[in-house]
Amino acid sequence: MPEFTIGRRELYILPTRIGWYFTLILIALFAIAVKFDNQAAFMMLFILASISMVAMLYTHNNVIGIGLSSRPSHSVFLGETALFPIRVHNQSQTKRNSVWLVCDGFHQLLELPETVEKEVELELPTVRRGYLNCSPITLTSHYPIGVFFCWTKRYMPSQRCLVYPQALDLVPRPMIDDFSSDNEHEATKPNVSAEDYSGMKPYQPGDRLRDIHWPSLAKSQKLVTIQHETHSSTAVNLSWFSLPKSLSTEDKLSQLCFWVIDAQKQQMSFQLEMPNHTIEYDQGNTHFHKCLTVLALWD
Amino acid sequence: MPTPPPAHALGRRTLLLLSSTILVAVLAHYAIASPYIASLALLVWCLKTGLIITNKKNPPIIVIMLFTVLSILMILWFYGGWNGQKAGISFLVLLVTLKFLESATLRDYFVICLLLLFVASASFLFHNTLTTILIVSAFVVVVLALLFIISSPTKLPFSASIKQSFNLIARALPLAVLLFFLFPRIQGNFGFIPSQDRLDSNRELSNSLVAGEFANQAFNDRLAFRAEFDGSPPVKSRLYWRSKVMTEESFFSWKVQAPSATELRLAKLRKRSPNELRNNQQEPIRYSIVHENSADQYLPYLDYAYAPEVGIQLDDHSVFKDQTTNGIFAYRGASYDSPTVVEGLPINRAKLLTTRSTPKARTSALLGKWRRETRDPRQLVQLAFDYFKNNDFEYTLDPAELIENPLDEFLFDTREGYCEHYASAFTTLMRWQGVPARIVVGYLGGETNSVGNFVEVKYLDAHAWSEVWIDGAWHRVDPTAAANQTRIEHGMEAFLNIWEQGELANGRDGTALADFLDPSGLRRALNTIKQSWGNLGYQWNKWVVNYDFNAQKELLAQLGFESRNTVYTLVILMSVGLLSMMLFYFWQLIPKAARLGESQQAFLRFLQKFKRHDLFKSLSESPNEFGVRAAIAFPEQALEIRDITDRYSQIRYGKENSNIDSFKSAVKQFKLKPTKYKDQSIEPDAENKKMKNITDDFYVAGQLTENDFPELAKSGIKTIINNRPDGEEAGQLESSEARQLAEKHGMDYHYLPMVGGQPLPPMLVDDFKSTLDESQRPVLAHCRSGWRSSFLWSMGQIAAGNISADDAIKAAGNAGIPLEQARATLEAQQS
Repeated sequence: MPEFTIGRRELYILPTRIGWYFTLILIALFAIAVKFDNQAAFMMLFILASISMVAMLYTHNNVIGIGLSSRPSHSVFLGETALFPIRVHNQSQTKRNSVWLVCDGFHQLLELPETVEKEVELELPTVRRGYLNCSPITLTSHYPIGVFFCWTKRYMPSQRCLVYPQALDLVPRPMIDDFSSDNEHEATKPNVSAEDYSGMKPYQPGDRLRDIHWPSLAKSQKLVTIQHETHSSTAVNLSWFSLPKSLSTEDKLSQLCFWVIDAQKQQMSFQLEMPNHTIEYDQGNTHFHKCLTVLALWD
Repeated sequence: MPTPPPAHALGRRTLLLLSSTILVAVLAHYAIASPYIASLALLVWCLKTGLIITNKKNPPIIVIMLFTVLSILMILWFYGGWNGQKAGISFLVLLVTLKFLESATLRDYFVICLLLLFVASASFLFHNTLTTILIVSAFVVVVLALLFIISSPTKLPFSASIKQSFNLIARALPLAVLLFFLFPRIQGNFGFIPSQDRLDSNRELSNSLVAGEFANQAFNDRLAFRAEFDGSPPVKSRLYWRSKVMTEESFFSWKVQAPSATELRLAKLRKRSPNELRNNQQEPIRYSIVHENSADQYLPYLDYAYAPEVGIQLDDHSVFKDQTTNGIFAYRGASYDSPTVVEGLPINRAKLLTTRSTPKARTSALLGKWRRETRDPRQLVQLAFDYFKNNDFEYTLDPAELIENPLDEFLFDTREGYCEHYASAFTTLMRWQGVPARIVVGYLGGETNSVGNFVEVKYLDAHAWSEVWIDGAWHRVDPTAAANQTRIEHGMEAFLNIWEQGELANGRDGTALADFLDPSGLRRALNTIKQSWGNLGYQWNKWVVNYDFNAQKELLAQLGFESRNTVYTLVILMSVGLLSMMLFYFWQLIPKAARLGESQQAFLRFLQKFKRHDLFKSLSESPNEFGVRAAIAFPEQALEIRDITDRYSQIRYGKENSNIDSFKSAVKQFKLKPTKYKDQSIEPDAENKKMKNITDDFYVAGQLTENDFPELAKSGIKTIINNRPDGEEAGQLESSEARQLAEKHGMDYHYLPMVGGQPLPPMLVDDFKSTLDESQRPVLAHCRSGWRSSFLWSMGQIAAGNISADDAIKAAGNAGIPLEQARATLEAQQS
């Protein structure tokens, strides 16, 4: 079921500027019909008035019953565009013509045939790290002849987007930890053969393809990855305290973010040390995002 | 209110369509107003259309200003001011074209469409016929389609827009009809509306009769009025419609004398007490007339009108009305075959004998001869009539010109003429003979429309005849009858038909007349079509064009609403009708939920069964994904669930589509028997509370108490997992307390509750397994009896491929835990 279904209480409707012009024309026509007692003009007046009344129903019914729901959005770095996937449901037998999805000045035209769901990706700029809530969404329509405009109550998508700090390289990276090898060049090179087999685990998204144990796929129909013991020589402690005091909090977070990305790229094991919280040495996607989340939500 | 959507550009095809619609309005303007103004509008239209075709920008503002000034000057020049219907509509048409010239934005085009609708409606002020309404309706449909196209941000094909426009109008029409009949027709005047133009009366019955001029009317086939008789209509030769009476003669031409103020006052007085006019001998002929637009103040009534409803009856029986009305009007009439006798009605004998022309030699001789024969007025009339009849007088539409002494030349030389010649000559002769006489002008006959059963009288049916005063009463004499019987008996159309074929000269008029009166084949079919069309026009005029407040009163009476305040009743009826129709439309047009296929409905019923046990299919889930989840939650029916979801996917997404019935019956038979994971099978007693080892380093147990913890620590347990939710039973050890106790005794404590009697949360098995893997051994897991703990352990181990379902059941069985009941789920986990 959609999170938000547009019912009668969620819908507003008013004449457009063209609608008011139309009213003026009707008034003038009425005056003429009365003055000259012209019944054909009266008939015309009533036809036009009825058309506008029926058009009002059309406009109203073009939007009523449409459902909206939001889908989880991917985390992005500050400065990137946050994408909010919004799903629009038309669960009725009626085609919906020219419905506009409006979000913060962003307009998306939707044609919704019978019983169709469509997904719209709303693009929002990111200006601050932390959780970014999608701006409220309204649907509007002036189908069929543009004399009425109807719009819905604002719908707040429940999903939010986590914005990581912007990665900035401001100061040199701290030294590789003492138990690492002395040669930095060697450390940055992942050495597969040096990793020892330590066991098998079910495949998780993010595992390297080359670690998949293909023979067991044939046997059990399940993806199994080989786990390596990483008594890695490339481990780094990314510490808040190693940053110069002169940097502002945001700059510090940006720098740590840069280092985290860098360490992840080089497949290093790293530890993130924050004033009240330490995420211990580990590696992999989960760890990476855990660290970034801490940075994003730091206050 | 959110910001309106961004405006879209219109395609060239849309603009050209709009342009051709405007062209229709401009061309139609030629039929209404000054051709110069229509030409100016056409010029502006050509300019803009050229710009559209060549994809050029709008002309500079100065050009538009120049055109505007020119338009204003032209309107002032041709109409002499702003006030007037024609000036108004010319202004509107020029406004449309000029607006079109300067249009650039979407809103401009919207405004043009609205103006076009207004122009179309206003054109009814000039033409009110059925043909006009059809043309205007088609025009409105197209303009509405244009509104659809313009307001649609996506490209809308013309045919689709026409279809939508028809749909909208079809829905609007019932509302419009309701409004039309019930909207109270109050009278009013609005100062800012142009006043009415004077009607062009050239083509109507003139107030004077000049020999030779009247014949032009013979080719004027404009409709004058339509009359519907309450009974069957009288024969054509008796349908003498009196319009006006002419008493003033001057040299073979006649004039109407407008009624004097005294005469009108007397007539009004008489109208108030019409009893003295009553003729009790017979029932009057009753009829209703729908008269076309006319500037004439004399209303045609069948001879001899009695107590007319509209207008004032003058002494000469003609009916006069003070003011002309605009547009079509209707009235009812009652007439007697013979004139109503008014006691002591004075006639101005002297006036009725006055002539300005004097008899010339030949005429004097004729008059003298007649006078010698008789002095009796009746015989004198007969003599004059016979003279026309016996002397080869010819009835013709292009009589020879009468130059010096019209009467003499007509009587002795040319001997051919139109009704006015005969009436005029006859009346003059009578006056010279001392018989008071006058000319009556009106219509004779009319075409019977057998489809609508009414008589259609056109201007070509105009006729003039005489009346003579004999023995204190007026008697009608139609001298034309002496010359031509066809005109009198079969009507003007029949005569014209023969006349046009030239059959009169070669003596074959008899067969031509027979042909006309009883047409065959195609002619008959054409006649029927013509008459049907005429009937449509009549009904349109009767019900729509002539609908007024009185008709509304009548309608209410017919509907059975007796009310003193008609307006009030009308407003209430209208509001109620409007409201209920709108509600009906609202209900009818509201989008209905999609109708599902049979299989979908069956699957929904299937899902419904799970809803009772709080298991919902999320929208993002495929049927199969839901099936897996449901199978885990209801392990005993895993195979059934799997079967149904597989079949459903097969029907919905596979190629096979035949086994819907078996699928439906499978869903019908499916009954959910929720497994109560409450381990009722074994009662927790002293025995059960003890630790049971499943493997070397994994134990299960029933509910723990405070006292158990030191003992467990002593026996070497390093980790405790609690699978029993807090508050399941009174006096149960809370997990938080248990945690403190465990930590006090140096044991890790994990709380992973599994709620009994509810679907198994999918994450729980994984959580349990990972907790187990990460914990220090040996581990003790407990719930109420140890069943849930064993089940979770088995699920995890089987999923990891460590043991088979059989092994797990066996292992648990050894510890006294009956896992057999969950075999299906465990096996599902295996594959």
